[in-house]
Amino acid sequence: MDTQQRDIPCTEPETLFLYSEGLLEPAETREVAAHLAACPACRERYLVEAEFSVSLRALPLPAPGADFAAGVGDRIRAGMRSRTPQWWWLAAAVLALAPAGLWLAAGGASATGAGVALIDFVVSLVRWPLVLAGWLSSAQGWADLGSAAEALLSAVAASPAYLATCIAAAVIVAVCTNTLLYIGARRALILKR
Amino acid sequence: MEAALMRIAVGGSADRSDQELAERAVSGDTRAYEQLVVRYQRLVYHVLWSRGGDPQEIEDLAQETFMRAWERLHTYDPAQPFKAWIARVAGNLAIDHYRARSRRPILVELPDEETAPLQGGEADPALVAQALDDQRGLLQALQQVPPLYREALVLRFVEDLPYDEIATALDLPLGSVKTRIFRGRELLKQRLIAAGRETATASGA
Repeated sequence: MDTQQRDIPCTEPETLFLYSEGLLEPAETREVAAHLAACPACRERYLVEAEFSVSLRALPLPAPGADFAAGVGDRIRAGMRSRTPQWWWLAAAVLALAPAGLWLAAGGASATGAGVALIDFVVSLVRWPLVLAGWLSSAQGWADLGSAAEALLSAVAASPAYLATCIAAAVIVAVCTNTLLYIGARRALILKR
Repeated sequence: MEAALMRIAVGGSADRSDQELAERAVSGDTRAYEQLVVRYQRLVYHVLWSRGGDPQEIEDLAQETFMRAWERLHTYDPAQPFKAWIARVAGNLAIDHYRARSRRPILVELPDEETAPLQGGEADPALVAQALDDQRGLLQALQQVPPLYREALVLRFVEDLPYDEIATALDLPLGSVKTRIFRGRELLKQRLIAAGRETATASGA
């Protein structure tokens, strides 16, 4: 048996490391263990490996103060409190500025252009629900309102500023809607926290 | 009084698992998150220390780590150990921080060093054993090891993370983690012996 063990070459540093970390396959583990039992030099190397790990574990690395976690918690809660109203102010500002933005979008055009933009904006908002309601209920009154809206749209379509104001209105509506959706999502997330 | 009650509330969640605390934190429980901070603040400090930086920088980055983790908690997969996830957040934050400051301690990849043979061969075990008596010398030698090796060594031997969790924390294949830790150890032994030799020469002169 001794002869067999002496035939095994001295363990490579990496193999010895993997052995000390328990990372070798069972067959290799048995092989190294048998060699260590027979080779004092490798056994000494193995013991140093183990001692090395113990020394590393005991190193005095910097550690946080006693109030570190509480500080993180306070910072998170303070952030939640301060962020929520900010978003509501932003939402209010966007809503308040929407008509002004509409007016500005029609800028360069005449006062009629701005007026058309405003009418178009309002009509486009009410038109489709009215037409849909009329269609659903088949009530003549609602259908008439829808037709009136259609007629109004046709009338303003004659204005030269129509296309520009339509685009501006669409952009503004899109911006407002997306902003509100974003605020809603953000607020839901903040409240969730 | 309020503070004392708060601490009791935090202490009450001490026996909960990381996953449970993380789930509570995602649904808005900041106290549960605070408990996770208590558990892993040391780990985060050590990861950041291993990436370089002075004590103030480490504290600031540790705070940022937990703030960033809070913001991204919904991306945490409870099937993974929280310990490895937070170590990864800290490591990535350190990389971003030092990259932004254009400092040198952070190297994202060490392809040549991973595969090239170690210089100097195996360190003499007798000299290593002798040098291990000096804890301060060991700490100084560890500071001289390149940050990526140092981080792997700290995660394994100081924080006692298993290899698969280190692979998650460092976003590396398991084999690369083993190689990096082995090479880091060998480099550390060489630095340790070199430092001991320098000390002996200085005191002899």
